[in-house]
Amino acid sequence: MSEHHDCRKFFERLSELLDDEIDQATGDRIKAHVESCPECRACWATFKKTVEIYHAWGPDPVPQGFWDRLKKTVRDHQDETAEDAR
Amino acid sequence: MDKNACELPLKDPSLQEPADRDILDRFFKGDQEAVGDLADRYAARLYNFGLRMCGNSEDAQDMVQDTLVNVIRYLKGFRGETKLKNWLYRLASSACIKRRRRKNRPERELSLEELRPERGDGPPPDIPDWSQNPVDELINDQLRNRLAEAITRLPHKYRLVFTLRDLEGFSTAEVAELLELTTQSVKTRLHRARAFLRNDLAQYYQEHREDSGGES
Repeated sequence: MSEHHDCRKFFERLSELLDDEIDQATGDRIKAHVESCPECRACWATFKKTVEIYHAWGPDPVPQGFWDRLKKTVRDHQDETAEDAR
Repeated sequence: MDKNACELPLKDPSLQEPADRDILDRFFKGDQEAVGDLADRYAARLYNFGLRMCGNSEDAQDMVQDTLVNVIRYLKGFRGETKLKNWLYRLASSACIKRRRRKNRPERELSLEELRPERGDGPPPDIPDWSQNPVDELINDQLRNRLAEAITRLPHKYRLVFTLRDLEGFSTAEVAELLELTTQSVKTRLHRARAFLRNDLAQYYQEHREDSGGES
């Protein structure tokens, strides 16, 4: 099996490896390949870091007026539901 | 007790987080404040989910409103087959999908082949500096803007899985249940989304490098 073929197979399984959703034997094979292949080592490093960055991104604050609008929606639709029930 | 009160018990109350169980208990006993408290608990998160999905604040707010209206309509039929949080996000995801369908834009497929990094003929690449730096050194306003912009370029079906899985923290199984997909479909879409975003970040840091005269 060519190394290039291994690189393609490895790339397909990157997310499963990262999320620990891969069997031990396959995971070990991929890790061994990464050790020996500079392109895949660089790819793995940037892939992991990308996911880490997105995980650390953090929420945006809600805009002004958001909560008032929300409370009004709850009030209006609860009144509507009560009306329908009568 | 309020004549609108529903007394049907949940299938498995222990499935619910304690705060959600409390809200549900109160809702089914006719407490009118319960839905408001549910909104207080989840609205900001749903807003951010909507922001990542819709790409702008107005649409995200509208999505939250639509979701809340559906909560008010359908909560009395909730039997606790799933976590309340998951049920809410199912409503929110449906609201996003409906909005997307209204726009009637064709969806692009991402192929793994196009996303795989190109192999050059030159010497093997070094591991880029940005992938070695601690995340808190990397995150700044400029990067945040880039992350937000990159996500909007992800085709919708990949964006939805990525947002639920990596930004909202649902497991593969939960995302599959929420979106009525197989776990394999979730994994496939997630991986292509991540690969797309990886390429975008690599480009971003390459652009940065070029702007700063080669210093990374």
